[in-house]
Amino acid sequence: MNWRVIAYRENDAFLNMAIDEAVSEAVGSGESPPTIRFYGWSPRAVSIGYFQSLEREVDLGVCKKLGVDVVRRRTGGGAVFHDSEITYSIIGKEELFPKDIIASYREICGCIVNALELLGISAEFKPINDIITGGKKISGNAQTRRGGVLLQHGTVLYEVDVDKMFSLLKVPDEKIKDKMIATVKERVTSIRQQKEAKRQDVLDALVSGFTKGREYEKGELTAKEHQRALELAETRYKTSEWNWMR
Amino acid sequence: MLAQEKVPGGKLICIEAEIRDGRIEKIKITGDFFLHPEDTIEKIEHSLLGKGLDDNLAGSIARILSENNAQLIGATADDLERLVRKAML
Repeated sequence: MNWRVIAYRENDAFLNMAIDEAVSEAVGSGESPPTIRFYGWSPRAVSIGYFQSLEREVDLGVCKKLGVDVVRRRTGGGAVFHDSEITYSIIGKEELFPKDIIASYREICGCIVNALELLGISAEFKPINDIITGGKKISGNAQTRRGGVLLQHGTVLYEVDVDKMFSLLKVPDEKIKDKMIATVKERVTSIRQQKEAKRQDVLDALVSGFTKGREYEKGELTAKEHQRALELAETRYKTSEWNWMR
Repeated sequence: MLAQEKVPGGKLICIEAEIRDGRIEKIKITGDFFLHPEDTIEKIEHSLLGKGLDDNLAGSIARILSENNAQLIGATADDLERLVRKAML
C-alpha cells in the first residue's frame, strides 16, 4: 500500500494531537494507508509527555498570559514548546517498522537525518529519542504503539528561544534555573543557527527525507478522520481529565 | 514524600508517595520516560500499594512489565525501586 503524505498545515494543539490519534485509528482498521504528516501549532503551544505531571512541568499562568495552549500527548517523553519548529508524525502498522523500539526510532529518525543532510547539516541519531548535530540537540521525537499501530511524532527546531521556553516551563529547582538555561543553550541548536535555510526548504527536505525509498501519494485527511479528530479534540485533548491525568 | 532522579543515560523519574505505618498508601510515578503500553503505569502503581521497605519492589514491577508484555524505556525496574525506597524514607 502506498504511503499518504499530508502537507504542512497549522492547527491548534488539541486538534493536532487528535488528528494523530484519528489517523492512527483509521490506519489500524485498514481504512487509511500508512501516513506521514507535517504540521505546525497555532496558537503556539506546550505539549507534555504522557507520564509527566502538568502541575510540575508547566507554568500555566505564564502560558495563559502569553496565549500559549497546553496539551498532554499520548506519547511519553518530555515537555516541548512548539514555537518556531516543524512537527511531523509517521503512522503505520507495527510490522512496517523494526520490532525493537530503539531500532525503530533509529530508522524513523534516519529520515530526519537525511533531510538535514540535504540542508547541509550533518546530524546523527542519539538514543533514546534525539537527533544531534555537533553534539547539540536539533530534534526530539516520541513514539507509542497501540492496537498494532506505531505512531511517532517529533519536532525539528527551526529557530529556538530558550529563554522564552523556560518562562513557560517549570524546573525542579528554581535556585539553579539560570544555570539550567545556560546549559540548555549550550546543548540545543536549530536549523537557523546552522544554516540560512527558509522554512519551505526545510519542509521540502523533510518530505524528501521521509519519502526516500517509499512509494507515496500526496493526500489529505478523509472526512471521517477529520470528523473523528474534531470529536477527539473535544472529548479528550481539551479536557482537564486528560490534561490533569498526572 | 518526593524522590526524583535523572537516570544516567536515561530519563527523569519522579516518585510521589504517601506512607502510612511503613506501607505505601498512595503513589504516583511521573517523568519523561517511555513505557509501552502506556496504561501499564497504573498497574505498576497499583502493584506497589501496601508494600513496605522489606518487600521486593523491583520484582513486583518486573512481574507487571512481563505480564503486560510492556517495555520501560529510559529507566529499569531497579531504578524505580531505588527511587520508591528513597521516597519512602
